[in-house]
Amino acid sequence: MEAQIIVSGLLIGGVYGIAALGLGLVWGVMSVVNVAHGDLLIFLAYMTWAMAVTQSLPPFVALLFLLPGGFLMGVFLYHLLVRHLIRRSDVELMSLVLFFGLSAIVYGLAAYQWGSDFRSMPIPLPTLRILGVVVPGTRLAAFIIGAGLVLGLRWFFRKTYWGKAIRAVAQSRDSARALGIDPDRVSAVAFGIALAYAGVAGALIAMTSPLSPSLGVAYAGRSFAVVVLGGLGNPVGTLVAGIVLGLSESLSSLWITFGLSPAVAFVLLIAVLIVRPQGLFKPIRSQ
Amino acid sequence: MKTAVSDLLLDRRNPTRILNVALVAAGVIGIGLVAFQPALPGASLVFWFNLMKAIVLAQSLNLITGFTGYVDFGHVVFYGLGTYVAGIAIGMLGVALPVPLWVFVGPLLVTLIAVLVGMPALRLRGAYFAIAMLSFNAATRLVILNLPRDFAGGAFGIPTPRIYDPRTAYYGMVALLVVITLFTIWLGNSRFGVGLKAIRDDEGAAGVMGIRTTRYKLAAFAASAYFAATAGSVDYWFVAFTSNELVFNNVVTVEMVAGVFLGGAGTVVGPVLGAGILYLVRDFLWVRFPYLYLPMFGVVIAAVVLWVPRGIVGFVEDHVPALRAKIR
Repeated sequence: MEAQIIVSGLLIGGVYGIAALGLGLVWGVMSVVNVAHGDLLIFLAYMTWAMAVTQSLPPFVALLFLLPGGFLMGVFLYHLLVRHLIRRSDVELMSLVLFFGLSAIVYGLAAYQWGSDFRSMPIPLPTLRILGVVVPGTRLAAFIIGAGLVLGLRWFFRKTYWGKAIRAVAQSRDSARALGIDPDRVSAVAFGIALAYAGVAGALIAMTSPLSPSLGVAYAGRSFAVVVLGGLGNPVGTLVAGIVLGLSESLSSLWITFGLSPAVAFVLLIAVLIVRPQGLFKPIRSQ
Repeated sequence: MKTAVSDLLLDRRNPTRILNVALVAAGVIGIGLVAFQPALPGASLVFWFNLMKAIVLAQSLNLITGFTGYVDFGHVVFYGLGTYVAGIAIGMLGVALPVPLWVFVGPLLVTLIAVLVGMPALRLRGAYFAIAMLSFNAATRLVILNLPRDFAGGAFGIPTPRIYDPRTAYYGMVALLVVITLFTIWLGNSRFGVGLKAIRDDEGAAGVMGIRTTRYKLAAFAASAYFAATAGSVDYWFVAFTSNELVFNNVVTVEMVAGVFLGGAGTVVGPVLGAGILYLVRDFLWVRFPYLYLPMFGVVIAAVVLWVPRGIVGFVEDHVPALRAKIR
């Protein structure tokens, strides 16, 4: 039983990691706190569901559409909302309120379009049985895709021009500008990457669990806990923190009760903020 | 005292004169609400009651978010706990106190919870506090849902038909509206209120200036929670029902935040204006576009942040020069 629970927690933790990454990236690079992140995740998950069920596209193909789709959505949102805000001195506070508004918009549109009933789609991969432990193939694939993309981002930050430019802007917009980097363009790309990753995460969520617009809050809470634990915009830290959360949730549903497992993120968040507010890993700003 | 009152209303040198005149007008309207209540048909009774409730809730959020600068995205939790404090005590345990008294005393329990939560949570700043509260609301909803059904009603909620008396409960909300308005006016001019605004503007500097920031923040948070909880308790008295799907709903927080920022955070009349306007708009939209009113509230919040970050009150200050000196 314990082995089963640990495997499920581990696998879902990979999804939590990639789900939280976009939030931490935007927060770490431009001090913008995207409270709408959870609702955007669920919105993108519904897009996968819509493509898979109404257009009968294989979910893994839908995922490939969401990567560029999320990127464009991110760049669009950056130019629509964030660019005007980012120069103000109270950017963190005002972005909080602004994205709270966006969260209401996205949640409301999802509830309008898809209703508040739970929706799920056919599971595309068979279930495996390894050493007596049931491993749903979709969850395993979701974990591999999530973990792979997160580690890919680490490579991107270290080795590519755009990755280095994003880190430079995260450290100081002004210094980056002095070095000939356009902080606006780089921030737009960072926002795009954040939502592209949210798009993939949304697709993985749609494949592994039933959807309802109200899941947005749960995912916002989880993402914040993961980001705080894993360091803002630190890919590896975020993945590890996601797995920690996944394990904590599944173990608590074993030891306490299943109904309370969404509250685990809250307890974890508060505990980390009080005991070790700087998180366990270095944020992108100081890498 | 007599001179003080005339100074507040008539002395052109008094910086808050315009606000005070507006508030006296609000007081007159409030007395009107009381006097005309028996003449209201049932449907408008609900309309006026909920309008007052929306204003009280927005104003309660304003105490912690507008004055102190701690954005609370889970503020609805105190409203929800307020309904449950009334529901559990009156409906489940049969508390001995009369209902009209309990709806004002019971919320003190919620205030106690707020202090216990606030002690760790208010050590967090900015986004961390906002998210901690957002999750606190979600967690509280789950805990209440999982409490024993004969104590907290489970998913079914707590109906108490025997206390159903909306025409009397209506006066409870009028009283609460008057109290919170007076409290906010006092706050706007008091040493305590100035201390809170100093914390909002620069918490470190406020601490250096000798303000006991932790105590100030906790006091503001406690007051804020008390008023939201009492709005919940009085609401329970009005409808004689609560259920956790309804009362821990983030939509209510969205309405409060929209009201505070549309009107002007950290001002006395702002949340009254903002919540009042939005309530009228909502009442209009709710019937015609039941699904689109939430996105519309979101658009209001986003538009205010982008174009009029100081809300209606700030906009008037900036664009009507004749009022600028007087309101400041």
